[in-house]
Amino acid sequence: MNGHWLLSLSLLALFFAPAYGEIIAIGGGPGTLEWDGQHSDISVIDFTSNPGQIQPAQTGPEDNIALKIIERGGTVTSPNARIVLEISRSNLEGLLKNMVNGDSTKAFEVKGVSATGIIFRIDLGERLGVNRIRFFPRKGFEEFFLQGYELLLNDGSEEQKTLAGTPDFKVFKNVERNLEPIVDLDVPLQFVRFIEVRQLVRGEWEIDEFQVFGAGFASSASYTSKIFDHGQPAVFGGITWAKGSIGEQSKTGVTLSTRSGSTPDPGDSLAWSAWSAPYPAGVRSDIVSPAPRRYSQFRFQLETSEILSAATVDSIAFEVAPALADSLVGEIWPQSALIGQNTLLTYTVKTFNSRGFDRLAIETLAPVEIVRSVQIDGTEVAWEKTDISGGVEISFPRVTGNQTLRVAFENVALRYNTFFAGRVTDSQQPENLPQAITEGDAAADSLARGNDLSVTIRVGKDLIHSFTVAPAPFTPNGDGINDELQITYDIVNLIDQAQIFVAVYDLTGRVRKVIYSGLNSSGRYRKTWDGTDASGAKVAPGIYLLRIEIDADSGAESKTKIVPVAY
Amino acid sequence: MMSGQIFGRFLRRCISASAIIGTVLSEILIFGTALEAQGVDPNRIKGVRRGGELTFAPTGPGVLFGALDPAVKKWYVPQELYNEYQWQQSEYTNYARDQYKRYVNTALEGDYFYDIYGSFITKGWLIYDWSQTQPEQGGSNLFKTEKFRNFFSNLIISSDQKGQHNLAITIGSEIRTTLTPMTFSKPAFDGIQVDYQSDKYEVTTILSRISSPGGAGPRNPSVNQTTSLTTLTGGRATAQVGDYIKVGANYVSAHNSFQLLDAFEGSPRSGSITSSQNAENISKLFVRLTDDSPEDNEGGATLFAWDMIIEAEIETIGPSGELSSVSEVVRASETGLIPSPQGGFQRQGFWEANGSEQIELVYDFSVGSYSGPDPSEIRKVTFELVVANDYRVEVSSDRQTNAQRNNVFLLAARADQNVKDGSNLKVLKIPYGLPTATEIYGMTLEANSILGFDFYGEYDRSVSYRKYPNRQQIKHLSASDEGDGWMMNLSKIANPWFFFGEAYSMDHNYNTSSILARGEVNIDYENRTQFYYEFVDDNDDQDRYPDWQRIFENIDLNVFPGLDENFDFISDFNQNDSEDLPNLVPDYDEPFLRYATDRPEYLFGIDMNNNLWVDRFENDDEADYPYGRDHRGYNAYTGVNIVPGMRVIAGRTDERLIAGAGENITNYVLLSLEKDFPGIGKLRFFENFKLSADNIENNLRQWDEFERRTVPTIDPLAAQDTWINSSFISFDYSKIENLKIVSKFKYDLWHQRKRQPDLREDFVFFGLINKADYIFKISNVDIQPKIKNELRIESPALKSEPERREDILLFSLQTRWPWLSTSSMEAGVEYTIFRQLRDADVAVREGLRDDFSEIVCAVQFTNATNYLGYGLTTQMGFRLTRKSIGNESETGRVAFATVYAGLN
Repeated sequence: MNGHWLLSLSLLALFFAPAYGEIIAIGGGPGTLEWDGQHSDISVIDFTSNPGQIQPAQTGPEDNIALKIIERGGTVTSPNARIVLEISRSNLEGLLKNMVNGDSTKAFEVKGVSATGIIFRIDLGERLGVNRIRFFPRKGFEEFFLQGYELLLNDGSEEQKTLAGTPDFKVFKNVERNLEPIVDLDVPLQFVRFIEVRQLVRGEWEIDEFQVFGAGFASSASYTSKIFDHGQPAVFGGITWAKGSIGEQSKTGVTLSTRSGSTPDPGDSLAWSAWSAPYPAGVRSDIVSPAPRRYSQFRFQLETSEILSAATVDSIAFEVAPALADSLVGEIWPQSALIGQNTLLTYTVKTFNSRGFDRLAIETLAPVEIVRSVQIDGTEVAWEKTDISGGVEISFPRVTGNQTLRVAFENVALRYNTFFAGRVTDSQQPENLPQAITEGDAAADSLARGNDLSVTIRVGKDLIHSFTVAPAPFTPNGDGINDELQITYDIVNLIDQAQIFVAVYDLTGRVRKVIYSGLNSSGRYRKTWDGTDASGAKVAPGIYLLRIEIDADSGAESKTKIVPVAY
Repeated sequence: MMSGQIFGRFLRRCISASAIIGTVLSEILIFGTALEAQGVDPNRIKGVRRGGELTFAPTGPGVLFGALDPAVKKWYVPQELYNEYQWQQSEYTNYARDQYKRYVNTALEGDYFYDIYGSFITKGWLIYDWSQTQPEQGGSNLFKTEKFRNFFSNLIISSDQKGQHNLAITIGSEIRTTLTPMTFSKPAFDGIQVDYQSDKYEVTTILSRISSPGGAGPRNPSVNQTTSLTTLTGGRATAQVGDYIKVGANYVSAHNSFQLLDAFEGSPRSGSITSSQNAENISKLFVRLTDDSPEDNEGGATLFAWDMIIEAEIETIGPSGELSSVSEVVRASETGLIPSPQGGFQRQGFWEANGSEQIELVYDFSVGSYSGPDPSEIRKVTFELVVANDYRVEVSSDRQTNAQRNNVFLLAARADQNVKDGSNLKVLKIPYGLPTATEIYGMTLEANSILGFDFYGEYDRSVSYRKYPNRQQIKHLSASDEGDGWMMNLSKIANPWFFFGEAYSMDHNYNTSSILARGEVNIDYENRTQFYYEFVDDNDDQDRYPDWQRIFENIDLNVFPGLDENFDFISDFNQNDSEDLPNLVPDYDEPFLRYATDRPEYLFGIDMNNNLWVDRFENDDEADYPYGRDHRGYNAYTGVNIVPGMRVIAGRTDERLIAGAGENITNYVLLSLEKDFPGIGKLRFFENFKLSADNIENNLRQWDEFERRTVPTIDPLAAQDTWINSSFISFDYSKIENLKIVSKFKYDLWHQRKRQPDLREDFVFFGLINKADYIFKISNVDIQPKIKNELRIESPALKSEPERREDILLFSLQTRWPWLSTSSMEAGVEYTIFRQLRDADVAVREGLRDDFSEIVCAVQFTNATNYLGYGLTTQMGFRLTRKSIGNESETGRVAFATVYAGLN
């Protein structure tokens, strides 16, 4: 465990080697921030057991976990005592809390009435491992003990809920004739969230303290960071974090989410984003919370389904840099296209108080091969195109202040809401992070009427579109003419990868060569066939079949082309 | 006057289509005293003699010659009406000589009843009356008199027969009614069943006001008159075609009715919006998308685009003041109603909800930016969603709530299978409405002995109707969801060979439930107990009560499915259960009884769904369809009878969930042998070998020996890629008179072919039961010693459950000695030793029972005698129980005095 921080640190170093901007790192060893000083809300988090890490708080054998019920968000209630005792709701609440306040002078007293069947329920606030329950009257009042009781437990899980969503209590102990003033019950170690006690014998009684002891870890815990104020609108780069576990790793889980805002108050739902989807541990991921934003926050949620196991978090680090502009709003037009058909698209970006940028990267499903023009404030400017992974980067004269950048290019829409992600960079400030373009109303003219960055297509069932082969005839005789068969296919309508199989068959149905077998998502793909079979020998002249098959979750689809081979 | 009223009443009733059947039936359901007019005492009841017969046919008031006295004062004409005592209102009453006689109810011996034509029916009592009158406040009137319950015990049968034609009209509160198991099957149907049967044709019609079927039991609040109600109609007809084929048609409909509508304004198919549903206009609509397979935490609902189509009828006033209405169809996005998704995660071009995440869209007509039709003008809304992956779409509104007025989401759509790559992208169009009716129609085909094959096929379609409420409208536009279910069974016996094949499918939204409109009560759309009616009940033990609780129906307090081998109508697992004295504990957990009854784990049976429970001992919480909802697949086997009593079967099951994620592919071989050895005993041997890949959850509710109640029992999915072997051998030895020895041995081995994180590599169950009892006499005292040993060695499928090595040894001695002539005294003692088979210094593992010993002593005096025609059995006695666990012991006592009145 002690060597963990070294591992974490090296992980961070590895992931952020080419990083830009400021890196905020918490945990993981020297030079990083301490977990304890960087949080706003925490729930049953332990900072001390393993310094440099956070983990769910562990209950010790002497820890009376009932004492922190209210702190954990739990309650002590009674559905029927108020009527029996003829007291106000607030007085009853105070009386009930006397059982869990640690004060030996105050008790929950049922005196002056002769009633039976009084019920009180304790919500521990969390699912905690419990192995012992004690309750007793105050010293000097021992004769007022509970002379008959039933104690019921519920672990707070979905499985132990009634149809109405209330806890479905199970009887743990039924003592119709209790002779012990101090009830001390050993409970097989189990998760408990709710405890219910029912009075069975008529009489006056009181409970000074209701104590609950346990072991193991809370079933869920959370750590919410403080709100990071970056001083000005900032953009976010990558985020990475490292986790560990105690006990059985498969029984534990931890998720990391982020959010960002433009005011210091995260309760302002208009100024703050929702919590993001979880980021995977151990790899660098781009932060997906909206940017630029001045404020940001992250949250870990730790869970376990086994009392003696827990997830731990070793470290987290993320990149932040000043924004290139206060705001970059973009939209694309037209917003609908025919599937797989080259369409002239206009990508419009409106800048607000730009400090300057001269690169725009557009990433989408199919390669951007043709850029028609680049305009700044309606004026065509010189530009250069560079192919990058998943798209194109276009450079142009620096854009500053409040200007409108417009790029016209040809591309295809290969799935519903084909997204054209854009981010700008400044070659003069290479240390800065790229700034993503957010969807919005970039301009009010006829080329920008959509307010978002995606292009829809007609909803269809096809998964393979535009399967073409060329040339025909195909003559792989090494003369430099038509020696390679160009195979192009569009995979459409997928948002995740599916198994693709492209192969050449002869007319007997035998596979002569597997061109491609692997996973593809929506996109335009190109393969070649040099006319050889699986052994590397040239195939004999004749008619062959080129077949593409996709095995998607909703079913398989295939298309076949005839390929005449001549020499 | 009377005939005029009757005629008016008749007219009113006849114009209501839905009332016709009720009217006719109500008038024929008057119980007469078999008082034929000719048999009436002429001194007491006068009647009119016509054609020599005394008749009570209505004559109407006429012109009475003797009453033609032109005096102004009242009471000048003697009247017979209500004139039991010849009382004249104007006469002075003096009771000095003729003392006053109290009023008596002239209907004590029955009342006179006339039908809708005015024809005299009978003198007697009204037993049952159901009429539907529209439009009228409280126009639905269902009246079961006390005599229905007291005279007839909630069941009356009218019948007729001529030649091959047979007719029966059955009205009851608990009629065992089945049309087909996929359409309508209830152990206790409360309503009317009309049956016709001839040699070739069979017709059944069922009718019931299911929202308040009439006060016939302590659970049934007596609601006779109501304006909003739910009516059930249905039927089945079959026709024999030729010698081998029988075709049938099924129809069931439960629809809400609103009696303030004019006749023909409601629909008996799609139902009507009721008063509580229409109390306010909808101002908010909700759409919720979640992951249909949340357990995998990936590939959940993805939402690409969303909109809502609003159809409205807008009233306009023309230039000359005339009122006209214009239909308008607009998209919510054009009216400023573009909700931002709440929850879920935004990806590039879509929103996603995995695991427990949910995406919610709220359409609020009250927001300031909304510029569309007023809610009072909206006739219909349709949600339009572009979705993909494993989505589950539920919808709600501020009129679709529970008792606390919180929104209740009802399922609107589910994705087929567990798609994660987006390849099922589609546009969903979901019209919103409140549920108003459920309808099922279908057909059956039965063929017997065609080329030696027997065939049964059934296809049914359920249609769930809903309508958009609008207070300003009388007619509401409807939308519907359809779900299909079908099944086919084919079998052939060609000795020694035999074959059976079955194929089946039932969509996830195949629906046999209907929401109840219970008068003016707000419908709680999530309360299945109070507001749902089931066409097909859950009744796994096939007794007279459904296993789940529904309003107006009795509930089964204990469900122990299994056989009734001794034919006493009681499950053999709970022999001491009775209607008056329910027993909720199975016999294998009760003193003395546990000798005869063995736990189901030790018994052999078929477990087609691989959930570790023998299918016929399963108690689930599902309607008893022949095949599971959302399942599609087939099962087929062929076998051969090798010798009498010995057969081998080989087969294959291949089924999968249609909308859910999961499949079950199982290949199996079953060898069974049952052989009698005359004078010695009976041998049984079964061997079932399976290769199974089953990840379909089949959760149950089974008895838990630790909790001593039925508890949810989760299927551990122990056969996801598994070799399964189940062997069973038993021998009943009976050669020596009065000595009975039974041995049972069961061995289950489930071997995982691949490592499963939560499962042991091998699930092993080794169960051995040996028991013997002997009856002998000393003098006139019967003595019966018994001994039973139960050995269980189990390595459970789930790693989280501890291994069990348990042994139970049970000694019992029962004696009975006669006393006087019909009395006897019985005494019994039972001693049980339970031991965990472990080393002495090893503690008992958590989750297992501690070692214990228990001694039970019972003494019982029995007297049997005849009394008032009954055979009385009186028993008095007590039972003492002392259970010792370690150094602690508990003592319990039961004392009893019980009398049974027998008919034997």
